[in-house]
Amino acid sequence: MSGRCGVLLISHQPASCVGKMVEAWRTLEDCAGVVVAYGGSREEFAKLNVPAVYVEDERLRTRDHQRELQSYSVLLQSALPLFDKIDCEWVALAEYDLVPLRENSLRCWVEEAEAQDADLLGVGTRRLDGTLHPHATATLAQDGWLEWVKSFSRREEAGVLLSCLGCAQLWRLEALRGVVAQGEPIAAYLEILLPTVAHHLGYRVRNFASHERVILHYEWVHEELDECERRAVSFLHPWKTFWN
Amino acid sequence: MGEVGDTRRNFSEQVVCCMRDLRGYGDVLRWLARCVGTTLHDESTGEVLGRAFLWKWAGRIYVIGYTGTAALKLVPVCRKDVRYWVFGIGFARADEPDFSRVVEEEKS
Repeated sequence: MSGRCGVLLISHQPASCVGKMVEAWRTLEDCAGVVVAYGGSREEFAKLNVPAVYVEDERLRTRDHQRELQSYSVLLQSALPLFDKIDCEWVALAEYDLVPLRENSLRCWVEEAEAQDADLLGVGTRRLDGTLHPHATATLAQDGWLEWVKSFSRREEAGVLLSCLGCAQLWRLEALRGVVAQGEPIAAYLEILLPTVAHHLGYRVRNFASHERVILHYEWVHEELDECERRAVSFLHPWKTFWN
Repeated sequence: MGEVGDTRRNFSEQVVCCMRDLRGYGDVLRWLARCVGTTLHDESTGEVLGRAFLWKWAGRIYVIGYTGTAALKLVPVCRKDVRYWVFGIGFARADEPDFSRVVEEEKS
């Protein structure tokens, strides 16, 4: 398998669904290899026949993700060593309900990141400090947040707070390793933590604007897309039953 | 001297706590705001961002039942005439970040 982009898939679905999902991603153009971070049952994990890590972390298995501060820190710490064996410059972080629509979906994503000279290309990327967004106000209210950011920030403004969706992120592997190495001494919601830490480490965080209408954080009706719109995009989210 | 302020702050925090308890009624508040709330516009583009109730209390402004999805940024309302007795606060969408990379600069 050759390609520039490794894929880290996050799933809790039964092993049969994970198998289909991995096969679909593995055959995409530019895919260098797939790793699964699994959050389902131990029994189903034992049935997986792909490179995978089992994630034992309560902060991954949240129900009210935002208020319970869902985190990928342990997941990433567990899964990243598997990318040592994969020759890739980029890592696509994808939740199970992100569905690639075409063979060149991954390549288009990487090309967009390269065109924007991004180290992290996420969907719905916004600067949230100075806004009323509840994720921002809750994070900035955390004791010690600003002090922690200041302790490693290479930026002039330590108060900058970025956000992007957690379901679909394309990372330069070096940047992702840097973010994971920082750990999470102050608990924060993953959609804030990952892009914000990347930014303060000096990496360039950009928006995958072309997919803002089709990668959403809530259920929507895919049939609303006309054929022209569907042809113009590479992914849809969420599509929770796609691999069933 | 601090007592009045403290009392107001305490009461204000109680109000915030009550609003937190209303969290489960968010859908109802959003429905009400959609029906009779104030329309919020982006000050720079005029785009409709959503509707909400704006409520002032203890020197703060609360945005309740906001129906939009864009993160709201507070911006001053610009006006050509000079008035010392009135200032406007409006809203705008949050910006997309476009910061340069500084990792390589440090390495070099």
